[in-house]
Amino acid sequence: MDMGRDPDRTVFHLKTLYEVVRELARIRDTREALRIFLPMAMGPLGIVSGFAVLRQGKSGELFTLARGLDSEIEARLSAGAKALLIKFFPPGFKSLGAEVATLTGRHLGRNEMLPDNIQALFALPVDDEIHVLVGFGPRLSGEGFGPDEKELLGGLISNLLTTLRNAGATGRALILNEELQRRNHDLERALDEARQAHAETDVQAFRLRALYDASFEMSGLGEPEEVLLSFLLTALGAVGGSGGYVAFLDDERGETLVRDRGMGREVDWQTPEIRSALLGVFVSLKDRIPQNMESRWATDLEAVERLPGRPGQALAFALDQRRRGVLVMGAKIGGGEYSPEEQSLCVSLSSMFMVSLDNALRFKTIARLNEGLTQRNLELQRTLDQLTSARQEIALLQRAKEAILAAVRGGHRRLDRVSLHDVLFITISSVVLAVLFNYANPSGIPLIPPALLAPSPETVDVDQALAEATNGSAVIVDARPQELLLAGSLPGSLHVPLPLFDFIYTMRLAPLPARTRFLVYGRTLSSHYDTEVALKLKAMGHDNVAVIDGPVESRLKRKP
Amino acid sequence: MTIGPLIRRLTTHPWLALAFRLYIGGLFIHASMYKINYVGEFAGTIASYQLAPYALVNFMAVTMPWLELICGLMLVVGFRTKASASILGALMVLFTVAIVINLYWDAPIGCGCFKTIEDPISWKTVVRDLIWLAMIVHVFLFDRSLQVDRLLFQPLEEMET
Repeated sequence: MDMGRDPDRTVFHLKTLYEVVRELARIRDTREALRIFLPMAMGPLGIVSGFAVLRQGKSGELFTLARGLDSEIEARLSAGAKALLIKFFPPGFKSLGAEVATLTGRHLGRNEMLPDNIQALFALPVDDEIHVLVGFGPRLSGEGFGPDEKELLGGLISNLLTTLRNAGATGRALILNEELQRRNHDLERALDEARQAHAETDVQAFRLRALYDASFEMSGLGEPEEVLLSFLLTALGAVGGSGGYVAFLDDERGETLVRDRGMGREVDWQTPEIRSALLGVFVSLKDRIPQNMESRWATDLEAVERLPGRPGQALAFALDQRRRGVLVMGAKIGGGEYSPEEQSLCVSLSSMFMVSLDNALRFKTIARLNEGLTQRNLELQRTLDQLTSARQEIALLQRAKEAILAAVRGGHRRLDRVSLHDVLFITISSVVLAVLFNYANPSGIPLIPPALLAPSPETVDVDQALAEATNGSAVIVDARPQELLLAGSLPGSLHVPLPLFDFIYTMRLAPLPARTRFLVYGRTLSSHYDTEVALKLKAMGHDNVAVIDGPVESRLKRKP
Repeated sequence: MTIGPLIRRLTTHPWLALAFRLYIGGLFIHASMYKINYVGEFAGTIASYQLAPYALVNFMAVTMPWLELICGLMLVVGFRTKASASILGALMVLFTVAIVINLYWDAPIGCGCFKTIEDPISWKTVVRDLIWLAMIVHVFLFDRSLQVDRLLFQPLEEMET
């Protein structure tokens, strides 16, 4: 600043500059900066009119500010603000390195888009998105801008540019901050939703796991009591119940099945009062009574309180209208009420429970029927065996009857004729009896003569025998019986018939020496007398015994 | 009724057949007793006929008396009378033929019908045997009375019909 100038003016300009800087320093908004800047710049220099045109943002939002201008001029300025800005900041304008364009002079008034008496115009390239035009009209004094005023305006514009850049950066930072906050908020919300979804997923997974475990466990059970207990324990574990029981009224079988945990142990479940209390739960549901394979939570507290124990909730279920039951649960372990989700889980569990219970009851029925069928099969088998045995007996009796009848017919037919069977029977019987008696009889005889089986004795012919008898070297023995002697005997023979052998031998042959030669004869078709007597002689110690072989009839001679 | 049919009826009457049956039965029972007890002597009697092979003499001596005894008992009882009469008839034919043959041979042997020591065989013996054979034939043809099997089977036969 020139030191030759008026110091007061200089101080005034400096104070003005200071004031403007101080005011603009706290501004963070471009529009607010223009509103503050424009009167603070016009006042100290005595400028009667001024305007500012602002375009900012990617969308090219326009802001027009005028001071000391007619409304008509202000409207024209607003209408031509966009074209005016394009004239100084064409499309593709880059603010990097650009300087503030300053236009002064009376020629500015010839521009139609500018007010008529505009004296100075500043184009401020704040950044690529914020472009500002600031124009000043004439001074109140009618004087033009001297060097000091121009210098002051330049300083003011420079500070405005700085403020606008800071405000633009601040604005963008705010926008970014807002965007980040919004995104952060969205993220937090999404995180909450994710956490909630995860928690719900965990709950669903827990319920599905509970349902799966219950289904897996109950489907493998064959006894209804086991199914009841499994359902009770699963339900209590799934919802955190402190205790409870499940009572099943089977009107088909006329029995009440109960399984309990921590409740209802002292109750006589077979009494009519208990049955009435259980059925009261169904009555309290009125038009919401569970149909086949359905279950519903009881809503009537009075009906629930009439149940044994200290029930908190009661779930009525029905396989059909003759097989119904109630699941009763006490208070929760951690206190509080059962949530709708927990109640829904119990309903889901009850669906699988009813299927498993129905299957168990059917299985039991089938087992009982099978047992009955097995028993009946055994009875049928026994009956069949008896029938078979009876049939066999009948067949046997029939065959016996046929045989007897055949024997009767045969016997009757044989009455009037000779039967070969009868002849054979009589003959064989006689032979058998005869042989047996002969064997046992001391006077029995051998069936085959011993002489037939004994070794053949020495044989001599008749001539040799007669010669030996003639010269006295042998004794001829006639072994034939008495009745055959009538036909005659060999000359010199000694008659020794077999029946009298012992007697005659003693009387006539015993005195003879043992070496005496005996020649025996007498043989017929029916008897070998010679051989038999020869054997007896040998038995008496006479080894020199022979049998006369050949016909002797021609040599026989009757004794006188 | 003329005399012819009367005689015919009398001679064919079952009661006469019954009498013959009892007589023949008793006769053969009596004849078998001695032979059974003295089978050795009976073997000698058979051998004296000289008709049976030496190897069969003892067997015949053992079995023939028992055949006579059983057939005689069945005739007395009236059981299977035709079969028994047939067997005894065959035996009687056999005995008669044997006697005739030995008469032809002029063999001085005893009959041996009842005992070992008897009178020698003669034509009287043949006639006697022929009479007994005729009785047996009569029994075979006309005997129907007091038969055990007939009394036994007749009711069963009637029951079946």
